Amino acid sequence: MIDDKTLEMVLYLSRLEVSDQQKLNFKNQIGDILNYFDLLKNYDTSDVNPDLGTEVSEQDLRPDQIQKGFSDDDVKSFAIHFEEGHFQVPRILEDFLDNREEE
Amino acid sequence: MANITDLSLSQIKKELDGNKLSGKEVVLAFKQAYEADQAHKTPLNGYIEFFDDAEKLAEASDARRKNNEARGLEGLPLAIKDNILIQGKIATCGSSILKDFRAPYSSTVVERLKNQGIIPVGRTNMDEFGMGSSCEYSIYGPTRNPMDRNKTPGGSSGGSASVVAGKQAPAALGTETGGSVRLPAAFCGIYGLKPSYGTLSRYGVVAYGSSLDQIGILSRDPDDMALLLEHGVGTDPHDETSAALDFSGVYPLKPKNPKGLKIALPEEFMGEGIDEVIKNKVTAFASWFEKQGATVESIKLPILKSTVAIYYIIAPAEASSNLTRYDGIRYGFRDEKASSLEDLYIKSRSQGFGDEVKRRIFIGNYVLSSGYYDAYYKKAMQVRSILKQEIAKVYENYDLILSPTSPCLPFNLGAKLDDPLAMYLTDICTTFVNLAQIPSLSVPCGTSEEGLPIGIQLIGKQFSEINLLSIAKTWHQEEGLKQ
Repeated sequence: MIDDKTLEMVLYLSRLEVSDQQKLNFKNQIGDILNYFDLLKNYDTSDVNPDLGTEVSEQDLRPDQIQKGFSDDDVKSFAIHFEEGHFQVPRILEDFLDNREEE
Repeated sequence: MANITDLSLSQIKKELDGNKLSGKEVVLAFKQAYEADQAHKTPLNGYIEFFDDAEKLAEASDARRKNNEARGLEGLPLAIKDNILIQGKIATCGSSILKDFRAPYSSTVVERLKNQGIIPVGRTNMDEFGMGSSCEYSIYGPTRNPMDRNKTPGGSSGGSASVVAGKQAPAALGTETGGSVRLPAAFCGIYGLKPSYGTLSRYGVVAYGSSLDQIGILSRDPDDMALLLEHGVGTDPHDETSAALDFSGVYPLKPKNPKGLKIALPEEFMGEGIDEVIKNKVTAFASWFEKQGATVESIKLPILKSTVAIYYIIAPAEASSNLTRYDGIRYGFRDEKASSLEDLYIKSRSQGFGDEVKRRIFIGNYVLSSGYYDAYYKKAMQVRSILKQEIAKVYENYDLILSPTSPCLPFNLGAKLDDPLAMYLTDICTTFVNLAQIPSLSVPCGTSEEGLPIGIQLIGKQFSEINLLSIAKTWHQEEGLKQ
């Protein structure tokens, strides 16, 4: 079982929010899963190097040549909001601007 | 001639090359099979979309053939899992967060196959982002098993398995991270190949666990796999882990007699937790090998009991990193009502991802977070090292490992949805193959008394997939075709 503080911390790290019922489910289900992971404690790994999964033995360098990228129209076909060569995002300086207005 | 939809990919190739069928007739036959099934009271729901342009592409392919410009895979239809990009087509990964995402480029493998004449006929249903073993965690609803529509087809490439076994496509591409091609192939009674890590480029496959992900093939005949591999392999500058393999001339496969082969049968997969009916089939399959002159020996490999734990630390850790890209900024779903940038991230991700994806992102961030990293993630990577060493030792004395593909028969839809750990344990026989980055072929080996399919894996050394397929061809010709 994981405690509430850890649950909230990891949800924040994940940039996720879930309902109270889901939090309860998460605590139970993930608690079971973490307990299951304890199987690995049986292995003495003090002298074992971690396996990183991929081994690219030597760096495969490509010639430094300009390649065709996406056109604006290409990007518009999948982007959420794309105008004049930029991805548009919501206003992010709200606190700063609100403070200035108050001043 | 048999119905077109009964033909394997290689049989269709023969008919097309002999001008006995046109590409358009072939595409129409599979489209009609799909449409007929849509009218069923419980449709298979294997396809998310059957492509409107498939017929036109088939007409163009027929014209090319008429002009003597036919290529290696000219006019052959192929279903594609919904996480493998096809330029201009929607690719959702079964997720709300990518519901309207249109691929701006094709994955390397699709591009290579298309350049040889393949016609993508549709995109197939899957567990969201490949995270699931039953093809139920999809915004498009569950896919059903053609052998028994109340059962799951297995996952995550359940849509691909269902359309191939349900005769709505001769073959399909799926993807694997921990068994997502082999498990559905076993549940639906067809062949499922997980090639070695590096055999097929991962470029244009939506990332889940990058040290484990690999495109796989589902079909009703091992020759179909050789045909697709021949044209799909090769280094790719967009994927540094792609291997310099040349499979020219592997199709048609030369059947390999198993005489003299030494085969290891891990006893960990023949004991508690494995369905008796499945164990009996494995024993029968082992006897077939012995009759051919191979030696089958039981071996002890206790680490196999721990591979689900290693896998469910490493895969979610890699997933939690890979899935940070879905932030509502550039593409995918955005919650327009968010009040700040951080709120936008949180709201977009929370509404866009389903519960199982959230659970795995959570586990991934937990095992990577300060204070838990060494105990979980580092530990799992170290035990993965031990696993690889132990598998390498097995191959010093044996040519193949034989094992069930699944510990259980296809289960009822909904049966494991509320118990994630039980769902994860469905992968007990498959995840070690992905962790060790070796190839494995799930071979359909008959059914239980109630007609539920059973699959058995032939597992080889790295890059020995053609050897596995050549052995399977012998079995297919002598036994498989009788079933």
